[in-house]
Amino acid sequence: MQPKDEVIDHGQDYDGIKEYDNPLPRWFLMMFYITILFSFWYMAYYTAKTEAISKATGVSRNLAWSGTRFVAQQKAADAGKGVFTAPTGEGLEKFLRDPANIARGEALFKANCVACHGEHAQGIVGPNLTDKFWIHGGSREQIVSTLTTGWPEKGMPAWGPTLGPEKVHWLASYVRSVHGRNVENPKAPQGVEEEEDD
Amino acid sequence: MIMVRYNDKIVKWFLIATLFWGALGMTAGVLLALQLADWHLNFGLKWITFGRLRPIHTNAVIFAFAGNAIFCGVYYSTQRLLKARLFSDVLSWIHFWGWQLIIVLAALSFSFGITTGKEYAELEWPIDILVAVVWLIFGYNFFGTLVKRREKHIYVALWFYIGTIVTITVLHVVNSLAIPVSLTKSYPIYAGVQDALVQWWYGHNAVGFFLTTPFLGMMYYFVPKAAGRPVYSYRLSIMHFWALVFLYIWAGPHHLHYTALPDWAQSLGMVFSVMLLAPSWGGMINGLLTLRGAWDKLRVDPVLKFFAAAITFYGMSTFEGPLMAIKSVNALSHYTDWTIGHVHNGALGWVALMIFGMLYWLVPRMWGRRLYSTAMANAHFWLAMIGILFYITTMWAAGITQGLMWKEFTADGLLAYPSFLETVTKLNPYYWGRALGGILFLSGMILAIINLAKTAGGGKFTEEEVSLPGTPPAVQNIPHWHAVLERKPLVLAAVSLVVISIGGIAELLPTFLVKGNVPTIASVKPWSPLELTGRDIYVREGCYTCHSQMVRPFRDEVARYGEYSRPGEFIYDRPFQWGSKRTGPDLHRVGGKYNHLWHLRHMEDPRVTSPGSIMPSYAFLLRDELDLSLLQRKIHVLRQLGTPYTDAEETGAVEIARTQAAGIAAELERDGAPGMGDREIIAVIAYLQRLGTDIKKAGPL
Repeated sequence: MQPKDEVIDHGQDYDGIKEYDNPLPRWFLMMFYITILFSFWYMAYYTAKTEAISKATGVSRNLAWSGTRFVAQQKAADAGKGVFTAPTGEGLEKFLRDPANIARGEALFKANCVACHGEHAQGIVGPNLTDKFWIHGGSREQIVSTLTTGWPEKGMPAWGPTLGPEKVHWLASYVRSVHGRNVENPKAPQGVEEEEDD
Repeated sequence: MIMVRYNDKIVKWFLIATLFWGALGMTAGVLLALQLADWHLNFGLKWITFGRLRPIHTNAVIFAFAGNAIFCGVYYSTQRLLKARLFSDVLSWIHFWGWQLIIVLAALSFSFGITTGKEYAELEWPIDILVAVVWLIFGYNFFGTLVKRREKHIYVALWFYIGTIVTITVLHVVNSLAIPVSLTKSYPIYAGVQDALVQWWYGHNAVGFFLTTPFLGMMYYFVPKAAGRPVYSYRLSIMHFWALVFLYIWAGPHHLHYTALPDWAQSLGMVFSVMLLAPSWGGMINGLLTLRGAWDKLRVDPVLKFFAAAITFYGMSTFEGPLMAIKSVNALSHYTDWTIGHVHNGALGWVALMIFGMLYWLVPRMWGRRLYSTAMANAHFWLAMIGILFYITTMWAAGITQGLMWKEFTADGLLAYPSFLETVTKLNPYYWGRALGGILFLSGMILAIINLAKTAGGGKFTEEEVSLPGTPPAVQNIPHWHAVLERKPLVLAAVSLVVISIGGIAELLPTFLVKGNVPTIASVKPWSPLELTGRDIYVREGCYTCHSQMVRPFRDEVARYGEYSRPGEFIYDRPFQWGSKRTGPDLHRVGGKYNHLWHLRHMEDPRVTSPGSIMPSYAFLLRDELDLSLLQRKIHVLRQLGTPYTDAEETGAVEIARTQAAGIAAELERDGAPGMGDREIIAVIAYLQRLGTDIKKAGPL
């Protein structure tokens, strides 16, 4: 439909403004109808799908869609990974020395630890991790245990439940790797001086 | 013949107020932009820290700049379209001075930290009442003029004004309902999920009915007047008016995608946003096609330049809006600077350019003198254009960059950018670019003020007087059902009230009434008196302007922050504090993450614990004494609202708070920060340490 540009006359003077009575552009109407059809389809599709997910998983309908999508994402990410068995003794030493694990641990450290222990593990409100002093023991096993169960009354959270054992071991390998490193503005030593256990 | 003299004096004063508040509001915006680029510019002054300045900026540009411009344009065009002087000069003056008083009170109260903590509705209850009164005076004055009109049939611009007045009244009243604790503090009658839904129903439609419909109305008057061309299509104006007001109201939940809001409400918010595209574009089409046959004038007439650009930006904004309302797009864009860019696309591109076009058209006519300098107006146009370009492109880049960085995982399944801070410092160049864009836009505005002042100074202001035939012109009946409504403005107002109520009722009522929408969690308990005090300080400082409290059910957010947020966790939150932007990390699971001393050091100087942080220093929280004088009354009010505190908790509130404070202070003293027991920081720490922890006591979810 082509605009005919015919003036519509209400017999009024809108301060000199005139109005054409042109038809609505066809592409415009099509766009409107398509968005309406899409909306009905989407609501129907979504309602059916959430019902199904909710029935299958027992998750409440209001969270079924997004909640289960997230769980699926996590599952896909973890797929193909074996079950982690915590190494001991020599195996633990080897695990902690592995440069790949140290790198993974560094990423975790940046995410979770720098706020208290500082960007370079030099200590802020948490202790300096680069000196030879340890509050809760600096052996391999003690570091892993401190990370896993924490010292909540002193502000050190338990990371075991949050990160899981594999990530805790990665973290431990990074913590060990910074030991003896020279850093700027180290926090004053806390705890007992210990020799390294290797 | 009879003579009618229009009340142009009130138009003149609203026009001056528009320019005055516009310059101030944008200056506040530029300062905020610079604060994000360099935190030193918070100057360690609590009155202008980012969290308090941001509501000053948003309220100033929305309600002071755009608000005064609406009253200016509505009063000017309405009188001419109805051929009648405004209903009452006295009401007009009360309207004018009342609105300016509100603006001054708003700016002062925000800088003193008096705020409800609900975005774009931060005003506390006494000012809210004043807003309602002044708004109704405006409405009364407007409808009074309609009643005494000398044009039976009302023009499309006026439909939009009617829709605006009706809807804003409903939105403001419903969203502001609260019970006062004191003159400067109240608690909303809604909590958590419900508060969030009501707030964004309001927030989105403040955009729809304060920044869109009145400006579309003004477009329908000023664009054909300036272009000297007929409006493209009467039929299109009917269709897009009703579709717009009906659909807009439903779209609010798109601000809450993937939050703890029920999924069905989110989906409704999304589809109604998508359906809004066409009706919005209807306005753009009718505006742009009205310029057919006048395109050549765009080269010489700055007024048409501003209008054509404004309408084009309106089209772009209303395309970007539905796009961002699609859940999968929103998953990336939400909480990032992309949203800020989108808002300014509309605010600078559509609203401000419409206002400038209107002012460049009005001042020469009202003062009877040619525009002082067309060259200056053209310079303003290009400064504005380049300013917007900088603003939008830097915010796109910043938003998408940060959104992707948040979501990136390494092959080991670890966050690729584990430190949130790294995703913030990365944005620094964009923040400078945005500030530059804002400065360019503001300098254009200053050129406009000079140009318009010179124009007015060189002319003489007179109220326009017109002679009209003794009997109003007879109405021609046209064969269109809608013509009936156009002769009965009060019926049109009533019908639009019904139309805008449908969406609101359909979304709000089930969320209030159907219990399954907010499943309770037994282990979630009310805030302790001290935590409540800390929470109120959190609200006062506007922490929500940079920190969300909403972990969305995404893999990256769960990895970064912890368990995703559940609806039942927020039932005692008045107001909700989910936030809309993450300049800093989400705080919903911050409880127990650090020790007390960490929080103290971080508030005192964020750079100590987080090198590179752009957060302002909150050292004053360590100096200012904790005020518990209102505490018992607060608990009392919350009990009235249904929070299950006991009698003992109400009467002994101060005692309980002091005991908890002493415990935290003792721990701080042991760790090397003595003497904090009676400072505000103690309450803030108590609140932050409790945040998001109750759910962990519930066992597996």
